[in-house]
Amino acid sequence: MPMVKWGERTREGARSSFGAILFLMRVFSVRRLWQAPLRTVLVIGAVAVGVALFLASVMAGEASVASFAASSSGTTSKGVLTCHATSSTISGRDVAVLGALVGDRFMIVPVVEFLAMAGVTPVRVFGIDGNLVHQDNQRGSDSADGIIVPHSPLLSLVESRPSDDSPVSIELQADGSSTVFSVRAQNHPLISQRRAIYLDLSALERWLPHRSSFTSVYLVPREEQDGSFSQDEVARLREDLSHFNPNLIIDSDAEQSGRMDSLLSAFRMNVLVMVLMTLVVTGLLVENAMRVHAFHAMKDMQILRTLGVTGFGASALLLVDAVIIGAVGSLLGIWGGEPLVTVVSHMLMKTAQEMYLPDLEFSALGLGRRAGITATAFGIGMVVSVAGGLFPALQARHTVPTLSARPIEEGRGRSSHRKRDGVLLIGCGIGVWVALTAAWSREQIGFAYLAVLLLGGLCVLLVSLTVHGIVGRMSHLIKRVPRVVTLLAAGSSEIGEREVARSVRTMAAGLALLLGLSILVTSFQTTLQEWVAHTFSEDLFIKPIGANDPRNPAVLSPAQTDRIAAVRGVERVLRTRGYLVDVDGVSLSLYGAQLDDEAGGEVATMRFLAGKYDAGLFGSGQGVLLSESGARRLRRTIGETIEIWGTQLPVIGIYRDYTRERGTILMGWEPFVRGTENRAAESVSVRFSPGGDPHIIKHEVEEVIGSAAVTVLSMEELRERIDELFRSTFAITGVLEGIILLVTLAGFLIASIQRYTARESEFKTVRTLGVSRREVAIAAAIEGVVSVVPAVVAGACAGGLLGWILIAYVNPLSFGWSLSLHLRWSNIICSGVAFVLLAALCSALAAGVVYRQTARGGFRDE
Amino acid sequence: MNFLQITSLSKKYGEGEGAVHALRGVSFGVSRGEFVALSGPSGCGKSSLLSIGGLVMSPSSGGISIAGEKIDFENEQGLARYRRTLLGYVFQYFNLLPTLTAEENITVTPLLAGVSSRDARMRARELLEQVGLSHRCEHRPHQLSGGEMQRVAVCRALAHRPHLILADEPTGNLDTKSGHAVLDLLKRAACEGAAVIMATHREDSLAWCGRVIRLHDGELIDDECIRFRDGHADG
Repeated sequence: MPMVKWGERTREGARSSFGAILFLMRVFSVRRLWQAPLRTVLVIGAVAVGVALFLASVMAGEASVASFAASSSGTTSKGVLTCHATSSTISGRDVAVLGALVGDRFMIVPVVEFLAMAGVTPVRVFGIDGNLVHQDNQRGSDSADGIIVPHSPLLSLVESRPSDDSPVSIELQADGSSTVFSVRAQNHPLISQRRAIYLDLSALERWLPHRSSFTSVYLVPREEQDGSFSQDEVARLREDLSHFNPNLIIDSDAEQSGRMDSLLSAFRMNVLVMVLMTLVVTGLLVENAMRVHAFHAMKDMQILRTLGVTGFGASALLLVDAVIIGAVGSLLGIWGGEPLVTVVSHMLMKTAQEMYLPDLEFSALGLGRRAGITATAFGIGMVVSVAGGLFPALQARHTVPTLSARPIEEGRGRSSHRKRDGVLLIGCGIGVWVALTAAWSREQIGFAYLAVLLLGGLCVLLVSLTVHGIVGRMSHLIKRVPRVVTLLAAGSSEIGEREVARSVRTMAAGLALLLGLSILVTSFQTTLQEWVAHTFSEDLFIKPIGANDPRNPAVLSPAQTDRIAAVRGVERVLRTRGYLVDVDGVSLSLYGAQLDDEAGGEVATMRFLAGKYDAGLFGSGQGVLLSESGARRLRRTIGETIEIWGTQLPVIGIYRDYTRERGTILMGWEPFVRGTENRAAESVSVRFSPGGDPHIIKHEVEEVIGSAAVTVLSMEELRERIDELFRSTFAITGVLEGIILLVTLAGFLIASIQRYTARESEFKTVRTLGVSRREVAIAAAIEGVVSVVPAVVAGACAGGLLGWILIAYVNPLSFGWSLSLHLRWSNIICSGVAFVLLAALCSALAAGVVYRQTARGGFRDE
Repeated sequence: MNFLQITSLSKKYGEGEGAVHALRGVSFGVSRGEFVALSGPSGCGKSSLLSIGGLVMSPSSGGISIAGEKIDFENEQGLARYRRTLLGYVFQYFNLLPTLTAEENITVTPLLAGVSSRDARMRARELLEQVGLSHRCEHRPHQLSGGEMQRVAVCRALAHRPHLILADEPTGNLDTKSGHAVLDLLKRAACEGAAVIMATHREDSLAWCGRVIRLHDGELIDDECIRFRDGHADG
């Protein structure tokens, strides 16, 4: 480098342009944002929306997972063993034997558990030793008869809060008798179940003396002993107990916790998928927004590069922009995202409640503002924004300096790009196939998600290859519209083509995600409706309140079932009951069910995936039916056997069951009753005689059983409830679809603005030549329609494939049950048309935003 | 010794039958204090020659040296250093940064050359004063006329006292009066010791130059010294 004179001084040391970069950062980056307020608002708004959506999903996911964990740990962290009977209550003799078996190690706490009504709210009542009930009460046993666990349904009844000291009164009804208890709202150390009241046994005995037999026994480690117990101890205790009474089952916290952990993992996976999908779509939005911002700076970058700014300096300038936009956008996103967090959290919790924890009350969500979470949120927003700005910054780094009015571009072979895209396309296709095969053969859901990601890449490449051809011929395609042909011909320029491809990719990706989810939901809904119609084909469904409790389900006694059968207008009553069993170390439900009427008529209308219903084998106990998820977990197929009560029973049919994802074994009612020595039913289905009035029969059934103890539903009501359950389960999917649609449209709008900005000078010229703003908007709308057609085609194909992968691979691997693929063509066509119309609207809007200038703008380039 | 020496320079765009030979073995040298015009019809290779001489594009073959040093077109950092310290540029379409004021646009080049912001600002005001635009220093480009914008652009090119100034059709978009003002500025820079190369196809602009290099189809066909030809050439 030669020495250069600057007046009297040498410029030997003038090698750093750092000061200039700082100057440019101040006057270039910040001022550019200030001088184009509309564009700045748009870009920062897009970042804020993206950050808000992303944060809402992350924070809501975190809060609901924590809430889930807290709720489940409430039932599994008592540090006790629970002993309960499979088919009957626990007698005083059983309690005494248990005490002898465990010795001084544990304290024996017998519990009486049953359902009662507090007003119209069903409440689980636990009768327990008075000293234990009040052990956490600082003031000792006072005037209160018991406590209630402070969960919202009960608190609303007694208008009390956990912090309240004074006891409150609550009226309970059970077995036709009612009485008023004095209780305190307090967290109980033993259990935290929803709608639970813990009463002193003596108070309970005064109210219901006949409720004296115990339903379970807690084995509480004594304080002076080590509070923990090993699995070996539990195993020894189980073995000792099995010699004495095989109906008694010991359940440890660790096992309950393990079951809860598997549920929590499934829920966490759902949340993770939601967060990842939101991250992908919001990432695209932010990246698009940053590109729009950077695009306007590219010409200036070229000038600066010519004047001597290095590639690093140019990228630093754009990164500063990204940091500023990210910081402001993230702050706005955090501010605007907070209400969104609450909405998404409640959707998630509602879904989780119905799917995973029907018998538990969720702990309150911890959504309060916390410095750590806010800081993390801000950091995530910054990272996403800077990552979004990184690509334009790298582009700026490689900007070619130019001296001429028009950049002289070294010829780049577009055909080589097409070859590269073609090779990548084939690679992605092979990758999808390999990942799906691996997912199925290894039963690893991760491979299915990998296939979904590769499918996304395949879709993008397909769109890129298609759009280059279509946009290149755009002016020819619509040559018959002479008034706008001049404008549209401009779209065939290379710079326009690149931007069109980007906007089309955004639309295709959004449509694919929407259709994929829509196909999954439609298939699920239709399959579920068909399944309900086939499985619940009787006229009335009766179930005692509390029948879903896995530890101690409420049942209908044989006398109650007989009373139902005696109601006038009832033709037949079909009984069902079940409990958890271990088969080959796998825990699943064994159900006894009547699938024939007393005359031997076959009433099994359920859908079989393999095998068939054989009334003779099933009714006589020489064969069992397996649910789909049960067959998968036990790895059994038709003809293979399962050992139940020491007998090998062949599997005669595999059927669809959407009620228990852990699997069900179904056996005939009579053999089940013989095995369990118990005729009580968990639920019954009733068929009416011809001409039976559903309202009258329902009323009479409620009268003979007691309306407070049972839920009596007509099949229509049952289907409505299942529909409602379905809707709440998939509420989060609706939110996700809304987010995807919003982000897709925002992304398309931004890409369209970028597209029209790229062609600003061309449009200014035609405005100068006499084209009105209205005609510009119409031309843009037509162009939007034409350019989005390949997006709709590619998006529909990719969405169909995505839906198929979700149904055929992700769903069975996640839940263990299969769905039939149902396409609602009207939905697909409407979505496609809606996307085309929205694209037209966005294009016209984008053109309106960019070309607000008057025709005079065509004369000046600066 | 020539400050800029161009030797057997060739430039080809594209490959095969569609290839365009913009320059074919062009050689010449320019000393400091010379005001050289590159003349010829459209497509003759003027812009390509300026782009290579201005170190913004690499040649297909041949080479150039500046102040006796051979230029390595692979060293991007080195090229950027040359551009910000030794070279100044004037564009046909001004290429002012639209977000910056006239004064700030001029301060960019001295700042990039490592001058302190105070000195850069003083230099910008001095130049604006010289071109009669001191009252426009806080105006942004869209508030200036075409002639004013080009005068600001010339000031930007001169602000860091470059030894080589490259101007691509600097008067192409200006009226006669404004064009003459710009050519006066470039002439003054040459008199102060800079080598000035200006691409132009306007015959009246040649009167300001001491030497005219004529190109046709990428070949140098004439290198004519026109010193003392008229009143303008010698300043």
